[in-house]
Amino acid sequence: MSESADQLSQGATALRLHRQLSAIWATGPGIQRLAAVNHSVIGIRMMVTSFVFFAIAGVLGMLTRVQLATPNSGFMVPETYNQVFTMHGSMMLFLFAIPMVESFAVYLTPKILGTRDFAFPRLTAYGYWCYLFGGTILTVSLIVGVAPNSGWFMYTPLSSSAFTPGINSDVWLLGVTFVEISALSLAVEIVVSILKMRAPGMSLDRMPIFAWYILVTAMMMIVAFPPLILGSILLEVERAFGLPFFDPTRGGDALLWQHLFWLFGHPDVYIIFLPMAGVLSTIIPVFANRELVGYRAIVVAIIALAFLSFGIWVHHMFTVGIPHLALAFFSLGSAIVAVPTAVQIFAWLATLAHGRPRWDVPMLYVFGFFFIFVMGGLTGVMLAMVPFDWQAHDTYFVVAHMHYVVAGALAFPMLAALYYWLPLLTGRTAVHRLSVPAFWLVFIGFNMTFFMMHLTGLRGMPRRIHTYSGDEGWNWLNLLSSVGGFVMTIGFALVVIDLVVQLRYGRRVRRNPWGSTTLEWAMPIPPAPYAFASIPDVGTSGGKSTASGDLATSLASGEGYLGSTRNGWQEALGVHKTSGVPDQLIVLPRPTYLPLYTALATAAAVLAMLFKFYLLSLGFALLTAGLFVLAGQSAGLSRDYGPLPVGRGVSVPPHTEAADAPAWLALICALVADGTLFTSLLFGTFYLWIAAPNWSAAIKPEPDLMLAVGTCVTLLVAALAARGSLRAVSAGGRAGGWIGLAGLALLAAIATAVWQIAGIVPHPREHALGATAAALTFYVALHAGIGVLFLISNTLRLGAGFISPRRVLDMRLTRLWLDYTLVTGIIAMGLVLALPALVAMLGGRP
Amino acid sequence: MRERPVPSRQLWWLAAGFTVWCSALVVLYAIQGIGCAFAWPTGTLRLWLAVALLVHLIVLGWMWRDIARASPDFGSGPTGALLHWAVVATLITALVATVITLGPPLLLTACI
Amino acid sequence: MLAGSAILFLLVMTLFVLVIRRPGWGSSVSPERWLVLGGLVLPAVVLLPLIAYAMIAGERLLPLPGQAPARIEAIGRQWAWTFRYPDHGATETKGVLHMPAGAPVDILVSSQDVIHAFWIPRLAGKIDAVPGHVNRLRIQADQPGRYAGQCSEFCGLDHASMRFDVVVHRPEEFSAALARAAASEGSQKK
Repeated sequence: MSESADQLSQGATALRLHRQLSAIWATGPGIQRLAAVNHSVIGIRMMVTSFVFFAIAGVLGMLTRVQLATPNSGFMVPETYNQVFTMHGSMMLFLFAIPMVESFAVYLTPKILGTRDFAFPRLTAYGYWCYLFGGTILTVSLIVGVAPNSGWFMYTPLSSSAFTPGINSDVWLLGVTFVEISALSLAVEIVVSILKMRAPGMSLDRMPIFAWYILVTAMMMIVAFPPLILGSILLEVERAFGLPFFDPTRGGDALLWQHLFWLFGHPDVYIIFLPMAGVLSTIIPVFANRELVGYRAIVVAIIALAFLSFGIWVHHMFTVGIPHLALAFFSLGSAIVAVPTAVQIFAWLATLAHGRPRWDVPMLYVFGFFFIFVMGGLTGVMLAMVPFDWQAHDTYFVVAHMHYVVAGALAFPMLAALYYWLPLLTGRTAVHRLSVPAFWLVFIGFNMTFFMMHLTGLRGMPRRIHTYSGDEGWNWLNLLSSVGGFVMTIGFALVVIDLVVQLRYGRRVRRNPWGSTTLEWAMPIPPAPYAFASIPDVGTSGGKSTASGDLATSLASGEGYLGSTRNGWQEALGVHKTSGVPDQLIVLPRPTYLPLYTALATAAAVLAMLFKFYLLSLGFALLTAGLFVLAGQSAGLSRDYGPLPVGRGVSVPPHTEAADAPAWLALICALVADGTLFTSLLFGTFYLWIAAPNWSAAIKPEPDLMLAVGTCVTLLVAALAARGSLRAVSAGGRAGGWIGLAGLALLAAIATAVWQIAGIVPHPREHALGATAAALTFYVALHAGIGVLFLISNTLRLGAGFISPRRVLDMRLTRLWLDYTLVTGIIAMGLVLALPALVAMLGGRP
Repeated sequence: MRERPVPSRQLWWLAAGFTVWCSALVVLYAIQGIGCAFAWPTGTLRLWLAVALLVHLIVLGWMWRDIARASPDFGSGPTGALLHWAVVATLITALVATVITLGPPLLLTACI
Repeated sequence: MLAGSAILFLLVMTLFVLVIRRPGWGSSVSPERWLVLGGLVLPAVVLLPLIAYAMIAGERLLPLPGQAPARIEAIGRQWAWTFRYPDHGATETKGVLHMPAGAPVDILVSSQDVIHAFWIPRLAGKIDAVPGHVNRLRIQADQPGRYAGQCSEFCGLDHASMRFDVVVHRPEEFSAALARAAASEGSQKK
């Protein structure tokens, strides 16, 4: 009797708490939806958007299969075919695979970690809008017939202005870079959130394995995207302004693009695979009724995989004429990357072997994954062998391998994940009748399409040919592939129907249908915008388990941390990175249109660039920067609070007063990405030096020593002044003078750098030597310029009271930025000054 | 009583081993590229490559020894135990990876 | 390599089916042993010999300077191949590569515009034609006859039709045949 009264009062508390939290966290109705910043809302939008692009790209894939089904087909003219296969690859990789994986991460990670949202909700929204707009630009280009047509890896000089004079390549370069900005901003945010925002007590050894996978993946993205972003910028600059980075007739080199592209491209495969492996490592133990075997070994395996995947980019370039010794480095690397993968495969097998496996739809897809991924992995090892690759490179064998490892190893775990987590999203479970035949159609169709391609490839069919004459012995294999493609498409259509049916007629579930133990199931289904009404303590859950649903009830009635509301704040907890002990109260920003406006300004800059209105583009880029500064104005709290109670007897300071605030780690991550871009630029310079034809014949450069030294000295002054302003603010004094000094020094640095660029010999348009010197110097000027924005923000926020002796984070961020600018500035200027000596060395070789 | 938390900076060690591997790869590839561009004698080129490889192996070996001894820095709790084990394991894996990926190629033809 | 892959594939799939179909089947092997055997021992046993073999095989295919065989220049442009024979004066053929049988020939591959790739599937692996660079590929045809060659790096609109023929002549007939072919091409042009 008393128990049910207890339950009743618990229910009433839960309902009251739900109403209070919803009022604070919910996204408004109607037009206000555009202001959403909540990870659940954005996650679902991103997922749906990525599936729309998947459908478009899938149709493009079907078109190529129609074209190739028979020899001498006149279905598409070559130009159309080239656009279609280029866009199929580009959309699948950039607009579907990466964003889809990210959407899973965005939707699930905070819930699995037991927190309410990501650290930077407005950045999530900005990332989403950038993705949507970038993807739309690419799609529209396809409709109006000016889509990229140089293949999804856009090899120069085919994609350069000499051979693709239209805007086709520009669409790719700008559109994809735009989408990558979104990927990069989400990656930074994911790293920070996983390390700083977990449920209290969730030390790293207790962190669900999924979060390890996502953490490592996000870190990979931070390092993998910058080389391609740099490559795209350089190529766009070459196309727009004639700086010949990739033009062999003017001191550039076509292979530089390939290095930059694959430096991104290979890790990208693992960026897609790792989160899916994370899905498997989460699902398999649930269905094996046993915890995952080899948690520690898997953590090491994914770290090893992350690094090894960067060291094997050249295996896409075995036929470009690199010496055998160097090829062997990458061949061996590509072979041993199989080891950490094997460790995971056998950990999953061992988990099943030691558990009591239960069979359900997600497991069917796990089976599909094993079948396809193992086959793809084995052909991957074959292709890693240099002599075999010389034969099979750029044939349909590679197409087959790549679809097995990227498409199969992505699609099957993805569908497993959908069937597994959809009850969480919708509160309904699957209707089995359709899911099983759908699986078999996809599975058989997939293998029929792509297995045949191994054979066509071995019979000598090169990639990307729009037709063939019919006497090569490829006819029936191609026809089978095409038929298989249609079977697979019907399968996917059936999956969609199944999901829609489930959405409408599925059996309702209230909580945890699978008996999972991860925290995303310890909440009401479907999740509320605040995710957890109160935040669990993973160390002392008091015997309440996720699997039985006790924990969800207890959290809903506010028995965890932050089980009440205050000041209308969106509150979350920040924890110590390794131990998971709460160390700050993170007050998150409310819904706002700012991310949308900022993304619109960015899109305007991109479009202006695309249509060659360069000044207009510059204007919009400045507007974007201004909006970022504006976004900083309302961040944080305008007064000191000191330690605040967060429930269960714990008090922590708000993040504005904490030593280890999320923004600090975010800036470090951003600088790691920026540093990778800078390193790629240095690599590019040295690469051109030794590999590009006719560098020794170039006019000897004469950099201005005084200007270069002037740039470095002014940057040093700025960095020192930033220290002065930090000290002054910490001591409660006035920092205006220091900030002014830093600002003047930065402006002087920009002036000297611009002056340097103006006088570069040989002229940047004439020779890559001048172009690289200009790029290096411009990098310094750009960073000094962004430094000025930091100072403007500091000044505004000091005036508005957001900075106090206890809230000095802004000043620390500025100091870090200016230190970075100083260090890269010295390196860049040093290299510019060293160019004459480097060229002289070339002249002296035998 | 809670155990003393493992300092956040120890997390960097998870990346340390393979960063050395990356450095080894980049340095050896660069030496190979420069050596071939400037037509160094094959013997000299191989010697430089071997020296660079050896330096990286020594660094990894030294880090391994250092970390194996440093287990108290990771605290006594399960978090520290996991991190310490993982760091040692990445160092060993990185060492093995360096030997396997960069050792045997040194026997091959250098510039063709 | 194909057979080896097939065996490994069947091994993993059999294990998967067994652990699902026969619960408890694999539990006599401890989890650690699963990881060590499958994750470390298996790849080591398979990969190390394979790598060694591939490295030796790759070394054999290299155009090492020792033998100094005949040279032929292959120049790619959108979308045709031109072949020059520096050992036979200024002879040039378009779209047809003439070479002697029974002896290695070094093909010096280059490009006038975008990246192409030179490939004769039945004779050797491929090598890219990169503008600004000259790559060397050593090939040998043991039997006289006609072979098909093609560009295998996507090079724009007519990539699919960028094919060429290879005519392999008996060594003693090669010079005469080449001269004849070049002359007939020359006359066609006029």
